[in-house]
Parts: sequence; C-alpha cells; structure tokens
Amino acid sequence: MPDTVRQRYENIGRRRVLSLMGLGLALLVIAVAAAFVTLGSISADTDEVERVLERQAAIDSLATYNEQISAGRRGFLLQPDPTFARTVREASTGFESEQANLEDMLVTQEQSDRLEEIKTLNAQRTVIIDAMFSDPATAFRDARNLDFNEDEGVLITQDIRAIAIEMSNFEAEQLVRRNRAQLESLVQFYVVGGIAFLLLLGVLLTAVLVVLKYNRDLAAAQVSLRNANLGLEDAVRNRTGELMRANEEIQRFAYIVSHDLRSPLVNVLGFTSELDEARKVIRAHLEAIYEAHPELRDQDSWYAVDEDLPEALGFIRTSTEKMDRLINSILELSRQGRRKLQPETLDMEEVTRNIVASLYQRAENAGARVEVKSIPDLESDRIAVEQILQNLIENAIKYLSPARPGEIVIEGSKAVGTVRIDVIDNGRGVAPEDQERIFELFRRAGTQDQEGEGLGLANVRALAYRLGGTIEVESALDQGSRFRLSLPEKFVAQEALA
Amino acid sequence: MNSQQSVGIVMIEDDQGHARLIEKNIRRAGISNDINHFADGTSALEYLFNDPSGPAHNGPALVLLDLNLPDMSGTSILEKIKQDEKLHRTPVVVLTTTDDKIEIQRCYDLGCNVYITKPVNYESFSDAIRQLGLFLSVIQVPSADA
Repeated sequence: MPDTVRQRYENIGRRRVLSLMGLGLALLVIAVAAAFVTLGSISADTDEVERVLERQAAIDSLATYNEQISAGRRGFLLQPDPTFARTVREASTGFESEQANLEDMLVTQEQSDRLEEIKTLNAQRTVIIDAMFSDPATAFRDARNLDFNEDEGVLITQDIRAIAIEMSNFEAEQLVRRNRAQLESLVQFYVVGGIAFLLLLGVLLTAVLVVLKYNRDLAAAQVSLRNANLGLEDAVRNRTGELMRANEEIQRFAYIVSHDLRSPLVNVLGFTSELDEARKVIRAHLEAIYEAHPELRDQDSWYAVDEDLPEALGFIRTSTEKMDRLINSILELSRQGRRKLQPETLDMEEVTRNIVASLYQRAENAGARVEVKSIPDLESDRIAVEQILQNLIENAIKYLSPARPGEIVIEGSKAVGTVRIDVIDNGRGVAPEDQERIFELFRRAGTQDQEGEGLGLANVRALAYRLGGTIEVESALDQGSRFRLSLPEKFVAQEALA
Repeated sequence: MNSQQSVGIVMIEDDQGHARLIEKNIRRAGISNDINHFADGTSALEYLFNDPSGPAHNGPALVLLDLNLPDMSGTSILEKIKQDEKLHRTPVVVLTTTDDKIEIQRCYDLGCNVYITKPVNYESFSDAIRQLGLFLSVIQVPSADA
C-alpha cells in the first residue's frame, strides 16, 4: 500500500516537473531562434548601411572631382599654366574612375539614371576641355569676353553638382531608413528576448515551487504513512491481543465447564447405580414373596421392578455415559488448545509414512491402498501436524465407498510461504450442504454407520487454525473428497498462553 | 496405644451427593471408622488443626480430599497438611474429577499419598473406594509420644 501511494505522488511530481522542463526548453528554443533572426536582420541592416555609406563617399568624391575639374579649367582659362592643365587631367581621370566605381555600387534604378545623366554631362564637358587643351590660344581669347554664367562648361558642372547633391540626399535618406530598420530590429530583439527571459524565469520559479511543494507533500505523505502504519500495527496488536484473550477465555471456559459438569454426572451415575441396587433388593424381596405366596402375585409390580425400572435406569446410564464422553472430548480439545506449540523442522514425507504405517492394518481391513507422494518439509508443531494428518487419513479409510476399492493419495505442494497437503480419497464423499457442518463439534454427515463422536474434523480445524493454517474440503457425493491442509512453511508462535 | 485405635476419616467434599456415595461405598466395603464430613476448606482446616478431637491433637486420621472446594483450592489444604509437623504423616487421598496429568503430578509433588479420579463409571468408582479399606489397614499409626 505505502509503495503505491508514494509512487502516485512521485508520478504526479515527475509529470509536473517534466512538463515544466518541456515548457522551459520550448521557450529557450523560441528565444534563441528570435535572437538569431533578429541578429541576422541586424547584420543585414549593418551591411546595407555600410554599402550606403560607401556609395555616399563615392558620390562625395565624384562631387569633389567635379569641383576640381571646374576650378582647374577656370584657372587654365585665366592663365594657361600647365599646372592647371595637369590638375584638370588628374581630376578628370579621378572623376571617371569614381564614376565607374559608383556604377558598380549603385542598386536602385533612380540612382543609375542620375549617374547616366552625370556620365552624359561629363562626356560633353570632356569634349569642351579637350578642345580647350588642343587650342589653348583660342580658348584663352574666347574666355576674355565670356560670361561665366553662360559658359557651357560651368553649366555642366553646376548640373553635375546638383545631380550629385540629389544622389547624396537619396543615399542619406536610405541611411536614415536603414538605421531606423536596424533600430526596429534591435527593439524587436530586446522585446522577444525580454519576454522569453521573463517566461523562462517564470518557468524556473514554478519548477522550483513545484519541486518544493512536491517534496513537502512527499514528506507529509511519508509522515502520515508512518503514522498510519504505526496505528495499523497498534490496531493489529490490539486485535490480536483481544483475540488471544478471547481464545484463552474460551479455552478456560471450556475447561471449567467440562470439568464442573462431570461432578453432577458422577452423582447421576452413582445414584442410578444405587437405585439399581435398591431395585435388585426389592426384586429379590418380591421374588421371595411370590414364591412363598403365589396368590399375592401382582403382574404390574413385577413388570415395574423387572422391566420398566431397569429399562429406565439403562437409558439414564447410557445417556449419561454419552454425555460424559462428550464432556471428555471437550476437555481433550481444550487441553490441546492449552498445549504450548513447539515448532520444529518436519520431514513431512516421513511423518506421513509413519502415520500410514500405523494405520496399515485398518487400511488393509478396509481394502484401501494408501499412497504417499512427495510433500515439502515445513516447520511446525509435530504433535499437532501428526494429529491433523492422522485424523484426515483415518477418516479417508473410515468413510470409503462400498462400491469400489479405496484409493487414498497424500500429496503436497508449495505456494508462497505455504505448504499444502492434500488427502485425496475416492470414498463416499460429502454432500455440498454438509461440507461446512462436518468441521463443527459433534456434527457428522452421511450414513451414521461408523463409530465416532463428531470430534475429529473439529479438532483438525482447531489445530489448523492454531498452526496459522486452514483446512478446506472439496468433495462430491459418492465421488470422493479432497481435504486440503494449508500450513505456513514456518510457524511463528503468536500465543502467550499462561 | 496400638493399631486397634480407630483411624478417623476426614472427608473434605463440597458435593453432598459425592460425599454420600463415598460414605456408602466405604460402609459397603466394611469399613466402620468414624467419618467426619466437611463441605468447605475453612471448617475442615479448623477441625484438622484446632479441634480437640481432631487429628492434630487426638490420634491418627485419613484425609479424603476433593480438589474443587468453594472457598479454597484442595491443593492448598494438602500443602498445609504436608507442611505441618504433626500432620505431615497423615495419609491424604485426593479424590477429584480432574484427570489432568499436570494437576495429578502437582498433588503427588505436594505429598499426596493416593490420587483417585472420580470416574463417572460407578463400578470402578466403588472399586476404588473399597481399595481404601485395604489402605486403612496398613496406615502407620503414630505412637502417642510422636
């Protein structure tokens, strides 16, 4: 019992802890996944920002080259110095390489279109600049009356500048957008992570609480179980004590009653004999009178003395004698109940063979064959076990069926902690309604053609109970019987008879 | 003093019927000694130890003792008789319905001389009582100065 209770508690606790652990694991997986997703999007954003910045730098650099070309050209037109020419050429080279560079980096169609515009403008300007370098004198002369505000080169430069600023602004916008996305990803990461963390914390706390509660419950259950056990042991002890006292009381009662009943019986029988003596005296006297005076003969008086009185006295005597036998039987039973049992290891096959040997002549007379099969050894009181088997085997021999030769088998088997001894016969059997009665004191079943007081099986059952065992019968009328004696393999004395 | 001095029979028996049957059988056996009957232990002890005509002061006696008495156990009377200096040689015949071996053994241990089970079979009971006649004739009568 206690084991199953504890197991139930353990199962409940284990289920709870397991489900909490599962929940915690799921949450952890979600948190880690969220972190990965968020981190991935953050790093993608970061890459994007980096590229935007690169593009911006390239655009700025393009704008710078644009200004350098413009400044160099203007300087050359004012003063055809080879230094200016070099500056213009270098800036032009830088501009073109930056332009190619930027072309690779751009991803949006709008920006590419703008770059195409710049390319076209730059190509126009290159034509002007090449013309200027190939004919510096003409260019120089023209420049004298040139209004710079209308100069084609200047206008191209201004256009390029405007487009570059546009491009730069576009990229700046991209940057802002990327930054915002990055921030959102971060916020999302913190939110998901925070929620997962809080949930994990909650799960952990619940798990700890559950384990604590489970331990507390377990401890409480163990305490109550121990108390229940103690109570049970006490109860069993008390009940056993009560039963033992009751049993002793009955034994003593039986002893005293049977003992005290004998005293009046002594008187009844004694004075019955005295009466008979007196009757004999009267009879002798009457006989003498009748012989001397036949005319006085009174037939009624003579019958009374000669027949009625002896008959009555005879009935009193036989009844009293029977009563005495019954009382002696009870006395014998109670005496056996008071005997102290002494357990010892019994070789049951030997014990049984000895009993069968002692009954050999009776079995022979009854025409019965008795077979002893294997019987496990047991530890019990020798005299009690012998009496039980003696009674059972005697009964088997006694109550055979006249229809067939007697076959009696005694065999044993072992169950958990118990040795079963079966006495099986093919005799006249016991009717189902008598199967309980036959174990009662002074009760007998079937044709009353055998001597007996109805004591044997009552004694068998009392002894079996005293040895901590049981006796059962399986029987069918006119088929045979199986008396099964079950005894503990090891008898443990429970009685404390004074 | 000689053996002709009559041996008094002290019968301690609470059952009047038994007492009568015992007496009848004793008489039938031809024993004519005085029979003093007591139905309880107290008056019997009083007679045995203190009565001027009782055995303690006046001559030999035979005690017929029933073990089941209303006021005390017969074995304690037996014990007192056998421990007394004057009475310890007084033969005691225990007459009872008990045939318990332990009880019989205990009586012999206490010094009981004969143990007779009152059998319900009347003939054997009469026989047993008649044996007492033989027993009485061999009782050693204590000398007067003992």
